[in-house]
Amino acid sequence: MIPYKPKRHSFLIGIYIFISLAIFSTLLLTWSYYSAIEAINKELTTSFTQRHIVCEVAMEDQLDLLDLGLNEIRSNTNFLQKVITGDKSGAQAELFKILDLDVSNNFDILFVNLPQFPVWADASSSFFNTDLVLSSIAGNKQINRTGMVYRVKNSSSDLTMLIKSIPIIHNNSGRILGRLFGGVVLNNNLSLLEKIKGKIKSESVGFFVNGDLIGSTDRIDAKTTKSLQRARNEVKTNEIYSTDGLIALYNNINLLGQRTPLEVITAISDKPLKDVTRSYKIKTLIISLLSIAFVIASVLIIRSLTNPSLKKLLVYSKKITSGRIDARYSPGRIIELNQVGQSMEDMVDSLKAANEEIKIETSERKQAEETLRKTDIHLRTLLRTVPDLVWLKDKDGIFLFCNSKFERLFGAKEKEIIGKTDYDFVQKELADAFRKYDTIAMEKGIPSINEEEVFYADDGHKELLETIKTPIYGTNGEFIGVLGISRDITDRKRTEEKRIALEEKLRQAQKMEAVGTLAGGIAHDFNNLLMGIQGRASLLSTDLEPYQRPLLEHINAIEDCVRSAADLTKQLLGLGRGGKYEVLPIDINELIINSKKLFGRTKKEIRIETKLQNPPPVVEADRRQIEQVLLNLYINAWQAMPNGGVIYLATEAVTLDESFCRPYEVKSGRYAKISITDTGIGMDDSVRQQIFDPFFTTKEKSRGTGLGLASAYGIIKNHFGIITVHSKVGQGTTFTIYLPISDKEVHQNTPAKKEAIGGSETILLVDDEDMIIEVGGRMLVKLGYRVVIAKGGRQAVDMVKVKGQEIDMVILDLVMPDIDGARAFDLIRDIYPMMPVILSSGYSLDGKANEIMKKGCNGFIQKPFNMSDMSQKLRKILDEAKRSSKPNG
Amino acid sequence: MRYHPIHMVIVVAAVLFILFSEENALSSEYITVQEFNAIHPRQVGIGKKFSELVKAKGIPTQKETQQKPVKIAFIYPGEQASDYWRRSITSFKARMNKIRIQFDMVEYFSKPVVDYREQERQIKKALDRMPDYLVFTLDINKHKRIIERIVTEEKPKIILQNITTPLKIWEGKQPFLYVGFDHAIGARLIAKYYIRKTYGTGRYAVLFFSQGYVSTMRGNTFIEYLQKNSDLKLVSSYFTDGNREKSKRATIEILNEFPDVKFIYACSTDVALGAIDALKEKGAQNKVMINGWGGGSKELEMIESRNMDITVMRMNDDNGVAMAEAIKYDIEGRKNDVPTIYSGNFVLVEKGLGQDNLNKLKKRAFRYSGMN
Repeated sequence: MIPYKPKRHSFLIGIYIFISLAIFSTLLLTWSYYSAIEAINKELTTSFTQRHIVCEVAMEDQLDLLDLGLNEIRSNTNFLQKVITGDKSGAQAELFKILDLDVSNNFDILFVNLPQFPVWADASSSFFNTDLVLSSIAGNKQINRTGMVYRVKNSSSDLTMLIKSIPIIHNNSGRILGRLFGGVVLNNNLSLLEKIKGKIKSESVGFFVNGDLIGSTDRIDAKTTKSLQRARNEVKTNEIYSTDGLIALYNNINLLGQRTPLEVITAISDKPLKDVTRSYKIKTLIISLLSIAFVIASVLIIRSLTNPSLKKLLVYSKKITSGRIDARYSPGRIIELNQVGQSMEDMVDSLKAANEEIKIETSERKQAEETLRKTDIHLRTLLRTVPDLVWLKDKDGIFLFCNSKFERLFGAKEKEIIGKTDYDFVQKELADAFRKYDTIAMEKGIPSINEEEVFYADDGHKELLETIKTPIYGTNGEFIGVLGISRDITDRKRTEEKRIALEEKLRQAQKMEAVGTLAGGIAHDFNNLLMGIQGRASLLSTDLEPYQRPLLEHINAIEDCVRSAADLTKQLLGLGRGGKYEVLPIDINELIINSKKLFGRTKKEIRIETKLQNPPPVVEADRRQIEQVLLNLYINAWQAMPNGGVIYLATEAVTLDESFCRPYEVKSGRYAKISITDTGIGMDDSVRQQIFDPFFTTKEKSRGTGLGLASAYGIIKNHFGIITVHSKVGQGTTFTIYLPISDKEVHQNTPAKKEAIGGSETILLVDDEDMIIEVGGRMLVKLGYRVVIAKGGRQAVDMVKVKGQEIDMVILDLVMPDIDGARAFDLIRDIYPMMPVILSSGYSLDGKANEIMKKGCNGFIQKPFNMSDMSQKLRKILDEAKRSSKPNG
Repeated sequence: MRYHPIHMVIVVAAVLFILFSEENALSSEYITVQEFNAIHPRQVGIGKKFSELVKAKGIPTQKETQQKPVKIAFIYPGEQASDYWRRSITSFKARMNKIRIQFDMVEYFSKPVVDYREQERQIKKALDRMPDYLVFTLDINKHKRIIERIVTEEKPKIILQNITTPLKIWEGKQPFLYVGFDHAIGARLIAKYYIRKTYGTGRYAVLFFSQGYVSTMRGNTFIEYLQKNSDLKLVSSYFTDGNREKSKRATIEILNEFPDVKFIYACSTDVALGAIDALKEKGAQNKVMINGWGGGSKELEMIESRNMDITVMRMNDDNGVAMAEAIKYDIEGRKNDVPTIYSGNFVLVEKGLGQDNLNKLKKRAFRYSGMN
């Protein structure tokens, strides 16, 4: 349906009136025009008929003139006498004389016909070739006094004439002597033509005989003459013909009721016809103008009549439109419009209620649309800016959408990608792979996940992508396409791998921690037991009578066993990072060299090569523990080279960064790197991963406990260091140790005296173990000391409170049930800040012991200890305490 | 035969139409030069240029212009005392030679007026030769009837000499050239002379030529002018057919009847000579003034011998020159540059004019035909 442009009602009414008037006027004008043309044609026909009658009258006049002239000649006495006497030349001369004298005489043909001489005396115009014509005329019996139009056409002439003859009669006898012929040639008879033309007021007149033009009022080559010829040839007689500005009609001339071959064509200007046409054009114009004026006037009147009412309706509707729905319609003069207005009022009232509902709905809808629009913008922004690749393809794999990140993958803009497929941008193999996962998602109707490594077309970088392809369906459940989201998981993968490695290390550390704690506990209790054995053995040896000397061998053997057992507990304590007994700055190179010498003496089949850092790296460490670690590693290397080999020992000062240190939970910085490399059988990954596990061994039961490397691991960790292993089967193994470098000076080691030194001071022995109280007390007593016993921390504090002035030193156990050693130390020092205290424990110098040492505890003695070790330690501290209590002393 | 009422209406209308048309037919047969120029304004400019061409010495045409000699037929009423016709032919031939137009000319001379059938025969003979140009003069109605038979034809082209007022009924199909001297101008010049000499009072007589164009143009124009511009009374007039003897007889009758006439107006040379003969015979030469018409050789002799008082002298040879130049233009395809009417100049020649002045006028008027 074609939409139409609304118009004003007055315009539409105007158009209606105008069209009606136009149709009516056109019909009226057409009818009147054709009526006028018909009338003109009738008028013309009448006019031409009149003209033709005039022509015939003119021709008859011409015949009358001929008659008059012939009568005059016939009655001329001289002429008659010559005819009677048969004087031919005389008669002829008389004829010439009459013609010359009478200027009004127009005879072109004039001759006398006698019975025996057809042409007897001739005075015809010599201008025409009349020689053969005259005899023809004379022989024509129809030419009489009535006259006729006669055409003579022969080889020498073609003449058409008006001709008549009268008898020449003898005056006396009445005898007819002959006939006198007289005529006027019509060919080019301009005088006659002009005479007719003048009489009938025509533009042009022409004579035709049997269709041949024999005379015209115009030149033979004139346009008008040609028009006349055309008119004669193209229409029938008595039929109006219009051509070249002329209206023409031809008809035969009737003379005295007789039809002649002469046709007269008369032509008049077509101006009258044109005038009529012009007149009707003017009338049409006037009527058109009047119609327009009438239409305009009608429109104005209609407007003036209808506009007030329409305006009221319009004003009312505008009020409604502008939201003033409470407005009321003011009735006008037109009933129908008032009805419309009333209907509108009713409608507005109905709509008012509905409007409220719509308003609410519209508001909600707008809000929803706004939310949707914002969401859409956010979504689009999100999709475009999200670091993931996002795209949407239809079922044929044709891209419908893609985001900025995706554009980078194909190295093309979204508008270049949309409408194309993967095959337009990547190699067929990869496109096939993409398509395969599209198909999976489409066929299964659930998201498909895959990983793929891709190269970006824009800069050529590589990413590992995790792609989720989800089939998308419309609200009606129709399949729309596949939504793809790819995320770069390159970093995540790397981090995950690292996390796994870290977890593995943590698990290892936790395992070691647990094992260490367990081992430490066992070692503590075991050391207490050993302390009992050692103490008893020491007391026994000192109490032996001379005869009992043979028993000393057994006592010594017991003490050797205790030492072996103590070594074992040391391994356990190292495993549990049970502490360092004496942490001092040591020269690692010197430690390597000494341990190499010690090991090299026993294993001659092994060659040891060293490459040591100069200057030598210094670390703060328990010398004996580090020596133990090195020896354990040497032994491990030796065992890996059953057929001998080389051990390469190297030291180096290195700087470890944060990333290297983080997995081992140590601080970055400068480290002394110690590497022990053998050329042995090496190990596979499964062995390597368990190498530091406690009790893991690849050796026979008799050759190892499985605690060597585990202890080494614990000791190094306890020194805030790192130990790693690198090995390949058949290519040997390298253990690398990193220990923090110290700036301190190297401590010079001095060997202690081994014999027991006694004393007389009072010593408070504090321990919750009865066995320790008993053995330890006896050993102190044996050494000459006065012993005060306290079986717990609380008791010890109380005794210090009571007898503090008497006590010279306190030997304090660390782990006790009521108040532990640390608390007891603090309380004792609160009472007597200068009270010398030696800490004693089956644990090594670990965290808690270390804290007490840092608070000013005077010494530490590891259980089990023998009398000699204890006596020297006590003596040293007591002497130092005495020195410090003597000012200036 | 029964007549329908419509037939009656048509017949009545036709009668009224005839009556109305008859009134128009009574108007003048000729168009004056002024009237013709008013109808055809372009003719004024064309005429002026052509007059300049006639006065000039003549420029030969290009050889290639003319493929073959033009055929020209002259039919002249040349057997008159006036040498106008003879001088026209002479000047025509001379100019044709000067402008190098090849021509084949046949001349027919006849007596004026009376020899009507003879002229018809001559025209017939001339036309039988299929001429390109027919030079003819127009006098009586019968001449007009002959010319009208050929005037609408394409060939020959008609040059009407000694007539400068085209026929009204030929308007739209006028002949190739009307050449001559405007009779009306000459007549008015002589009229003015007589008014001056008579102070516009007194009586006079007129000797017409034959009935026809010349008499009308020379005689009637003269009479009308005097009627309008003086108190001179016409007391007697005769048609003389251009015959010297007839003119003499008519003059004697006038002198006998009206011995106080101050002048006798003669319409041609022969008529004037007949009148002079009568004046001599009656001894009225110094009492009654007589004029010539055309200023031919005979008239100039009469002026010199003081037998004639006044004449209007035509610059005679210009007619022949004009015909030659018109034919030249036609051959050259410049037909539109040929005016329909060429009218030559007149000069008033009074008795007593000095021999030198007379010779100068003769030399100008007869530049091709010669002084004698």
